[in-house]
Amino acid sequence: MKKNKIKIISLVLILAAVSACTPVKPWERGNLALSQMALDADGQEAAFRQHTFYSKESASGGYGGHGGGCGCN
Amino acid sequence: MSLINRLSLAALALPGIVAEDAYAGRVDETFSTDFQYAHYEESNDRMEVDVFNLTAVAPIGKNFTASLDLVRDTMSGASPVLNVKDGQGNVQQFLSSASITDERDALNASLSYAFDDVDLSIGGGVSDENDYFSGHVNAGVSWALNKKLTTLNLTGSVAFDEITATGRPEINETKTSQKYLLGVTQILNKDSLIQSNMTFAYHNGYLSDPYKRVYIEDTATQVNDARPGNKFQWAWLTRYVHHFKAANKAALHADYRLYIDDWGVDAHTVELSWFQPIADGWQIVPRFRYYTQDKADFYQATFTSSNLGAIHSSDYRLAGFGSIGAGIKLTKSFLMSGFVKEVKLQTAFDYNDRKASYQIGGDNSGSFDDYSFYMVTASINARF
Amino acid sequence: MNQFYKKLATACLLLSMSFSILALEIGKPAPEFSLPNIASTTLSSLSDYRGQVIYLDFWASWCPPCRTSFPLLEALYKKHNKAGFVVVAINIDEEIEGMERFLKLYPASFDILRDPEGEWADTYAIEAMPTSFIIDKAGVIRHIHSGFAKSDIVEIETKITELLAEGL
Repeated sequence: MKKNKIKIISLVLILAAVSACTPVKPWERGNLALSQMALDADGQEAAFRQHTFYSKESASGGYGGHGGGCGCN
Repeated sequence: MSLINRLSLAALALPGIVAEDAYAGRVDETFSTDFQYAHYEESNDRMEVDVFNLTAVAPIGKNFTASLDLVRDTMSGASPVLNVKDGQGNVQQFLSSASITDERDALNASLSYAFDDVDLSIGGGVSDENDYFSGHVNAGVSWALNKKLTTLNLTGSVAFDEITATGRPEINETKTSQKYLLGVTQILNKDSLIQSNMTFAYHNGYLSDPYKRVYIEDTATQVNDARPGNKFQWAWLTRYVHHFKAANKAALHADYRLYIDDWGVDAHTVELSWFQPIADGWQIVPRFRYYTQDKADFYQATFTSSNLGAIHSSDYRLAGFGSIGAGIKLTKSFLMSGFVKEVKLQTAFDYNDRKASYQIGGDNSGSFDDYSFYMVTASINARF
Repeated sequence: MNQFYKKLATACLLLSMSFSILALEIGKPAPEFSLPNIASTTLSSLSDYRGQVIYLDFWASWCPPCRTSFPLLEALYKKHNKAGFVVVAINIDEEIEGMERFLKLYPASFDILRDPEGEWADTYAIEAMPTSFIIDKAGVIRHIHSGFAKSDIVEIETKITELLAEGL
């Protein structure tokens, strides 16, 4: 039952994502380079928030990794 | 003073979380220093924490980047020790007496090397307080494919902890943890991107809280918190970011995380933030969070001699509950072209309400555990 | 679950693959662009610079390496301009305000042209931001440089002085 729910959620996410997929040229990344588009623009605050929630709740994990942004160099 | 509360701020291998820019790979040749002050406070004169965090990042040569992160936490206040039943059969929480201040110091360092499309990083750190020591190492690789529209991320870390307890000289324990992340960041179009990560964590050793106890109703006695000697955690986080040009270049961030562990806890987390630029260099960010979790298999508010078993805990962290939070952040960025390239000032306030009744599918039997907390942060970031 | 995930990655990889029609190589003539110059109302073309050594730079206000490159290119331009060296910086910002804010912080006396649609960035098959081309006095591409780091200016200056020494 749980496995089916997971499959449905992931299918919806993937279909939504794929339908929006268009190739972006290197010079078209201006919007993606904005600081408000960054996944973790404030690393210290993210670390503090995750520490806090991890100490008060059972769940943890998931955060990390690079990507997005201007793709320069 | 609750060990779990300390564990919260103790070494959490967070590979990849350094003061990050909005860019992939080693793009910036600037030095940066960030200083943040954070305050955490619970309701009902419970726990209070002050955190000071200093981070410095420096480029070395054309491809290396080094970073150093220092943290000092100061904690004080009471925390729950166990639950008892009063004369009417209602559960009451019993808190430790407000203790003296406890301090924790942590240091993290990392070094990364940027190739054309691949970024490698290694790091390590230690965290030290009077009854808990943790050391960790981590490594990660980031691979940009497909004209840098797709980034694959793989990280791993190992931590080794030493645990003692004030007032319990028999506690001289260890714990090892391994954590792995596998994820993808994908640019969908000019205005949106998605990131999806899975993490796997394995813990072995002493996982109980030496400061917590459980109450046995029929004998009116207490025994120590006793949890399994291992734990497996799985989390799947998906983050979506969308740009709204018409709303003065605002951005919506929507995150969903599914969490399952082998102690019987399933949890869902939803976070939404709206980054709204206003005027020159100012941004206001309202945010909302909803969290719900099941109780652990061996959790009970109180026990009887017959259902006690070898494994038992009444820790409020393992109960069934939900948490609703909202907050707001304000940032101001000054861009310059002299020796200092940018100075950013940031401040945020968040309020969280944790209630047994907010749990999806809960039986609402744990309201004695309910509490709320707020967080305030203020930081200054500079790039040279 | 893994299957769905693989399908997403494959779909996006396929959709995002682009193929450049024009193979730009060292030794080939540089495509003849014609773009508005921000300093005047007229258009500037590649042929306007025939006989000079050109550092052709595709840049944007949102690109951090561009902030590093501008002061260095300005200094290089001032140093070698009399000997026949020019910098032509093609800005691909979609909105002109972004470019203007950048130039307030990093002013430049060399030619800045506008290509907001990215038409010439496409023709020059730009793979990363920023990308620069060193073009000799005869209009032939002699060096292609993706990205920019502070230390790159040394190599660039060496190449420029070599090409300035060549006859037409």
